[in-house]
Amino acid sequence: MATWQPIGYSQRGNSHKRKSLPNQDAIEWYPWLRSDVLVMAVADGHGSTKCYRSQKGSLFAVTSAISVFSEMLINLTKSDDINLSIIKHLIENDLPNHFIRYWQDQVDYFEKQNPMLPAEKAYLKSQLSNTQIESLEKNHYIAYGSTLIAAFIFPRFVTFIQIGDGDIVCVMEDGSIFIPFESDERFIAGETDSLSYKDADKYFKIKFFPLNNINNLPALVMLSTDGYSNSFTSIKDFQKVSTDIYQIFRKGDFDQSVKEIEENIENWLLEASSKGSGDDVTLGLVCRQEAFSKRPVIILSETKTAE
Amino acid sequence: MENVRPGGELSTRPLHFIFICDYSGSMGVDGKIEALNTAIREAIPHMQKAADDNPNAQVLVRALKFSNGAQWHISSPTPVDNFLWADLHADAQTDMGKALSMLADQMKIPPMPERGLPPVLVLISDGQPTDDFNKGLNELLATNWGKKAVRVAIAIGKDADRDILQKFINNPEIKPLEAHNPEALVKMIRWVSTEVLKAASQPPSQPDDKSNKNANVVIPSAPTNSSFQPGDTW
Repeated sequence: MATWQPIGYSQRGNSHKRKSLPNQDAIEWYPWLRSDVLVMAVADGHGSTKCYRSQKGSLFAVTSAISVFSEMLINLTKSDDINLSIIKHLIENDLPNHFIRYWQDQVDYFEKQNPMLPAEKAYLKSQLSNTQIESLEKNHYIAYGSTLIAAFIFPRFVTFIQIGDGDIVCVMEDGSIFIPFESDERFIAGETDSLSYKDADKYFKIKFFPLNNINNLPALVMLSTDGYSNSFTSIKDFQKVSTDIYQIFRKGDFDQSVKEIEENIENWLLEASSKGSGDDVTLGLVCRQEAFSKRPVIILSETKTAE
Repeated sequence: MENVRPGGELSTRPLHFIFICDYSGSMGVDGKIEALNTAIREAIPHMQKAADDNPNAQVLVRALKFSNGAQWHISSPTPVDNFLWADLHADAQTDMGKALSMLADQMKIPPMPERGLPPVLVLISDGQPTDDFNKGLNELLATNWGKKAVRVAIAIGKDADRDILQKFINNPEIKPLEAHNPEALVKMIRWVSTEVLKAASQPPSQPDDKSNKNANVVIPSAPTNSSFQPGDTW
């Protein structure tokens, strides 16, 4: 049985500090302690004037991921015989809309409890074009726009989901890197997909991995917002984060390594934001304890990307 | 416990700022080219200050010129703190299309990085293109960075082709800026070199606004455009 340790932190970016804006990223995981089942979610609120409540949008995104996961867990534990093909089908076809409904419900509830003030309306009118105001009036979810990346880990399968920018990097037990989703060439110059789209379900990327053998499980899963990867000179410099953290676990006792990372992650992200992108930076790690109980000599092989 | 940051080299994000300048024969009339040289030179300290306001953006400046064909006037992306302007001198034709084709080559990956801030492209002209403008523009907009670039244009004088400049901008919410005298040109060049630069250097994430293809950076309101007035030079 695999045992997973979550670690994570979100650092407000220097550019937001300079403008006295809050952190637009969010991270959440469940359960909080080491476990054989786990969800970790990371989200990045868009932060533009038009997306004036995206700080809430990212928070709702990660909490919705927890809710969806909890519901899946209840359904799975009810069933004695789990058919992975059916689960795969349900996840790939129903999960996006299911998730979006959770997220929209939270947005609608918040909006009802916190309607826009006249001063806020006046400010938006002064800052946005007529086209932008019209699009907000037609789709109020735009104000809460956010990305989402999540890893759902169960004993018999792992699912990664993503909408918008950000990164998931896995390090396998042999030290090789595996990237579940190819980078999207549309996501340059700050462009991204969003939970706020009217057809957001079409923009979800989902990867389902049935687990027949514990050795097929990643040793480490790293989720991060684009503020982190944008802080590095190259993609390889960014991916090296995952293999360096892998080496931290390789060199020491597992619990000691967890402690070391927890003590230093805030400073790592602070340094990345201040010397790099200036953006909010969020990093989530899910580490499999059994992968680090052996200590062979590790040779890092080529990066593989999912087909 | 030793604290060695994981990962490779950190770096700020490059922001390419490119002036695309008309130095055709008509720019030699009524002091236009001299005014352009002065306006860009005077804008540099303000650009440097604007860049200082966001230390996480590495502003790299260069310039393309077009007349008979097009050439790089300042070809190397130059850190804004080291950027010096070399005067342009008026020549003959207005091969704007060629300039955009050359720009398109520079907007490909490589030499552009995979990750960075949206480039700022500033087209400045007083006339009409004398070559195939649409070909050059299509090549530019066919590149991801060309498409995502912040494109602004300055029309010098009443003979500048506003329709062409609007096509280059490719955003119905942004109009070409107008300069009918040297003071207005200074004002417009300073605005693009500071306010547009600031907007591009700190862009929030933008969902793809399908109604507006050039919406990834929100441009602040431009200085008020004024049409040609009696007494104006151009």
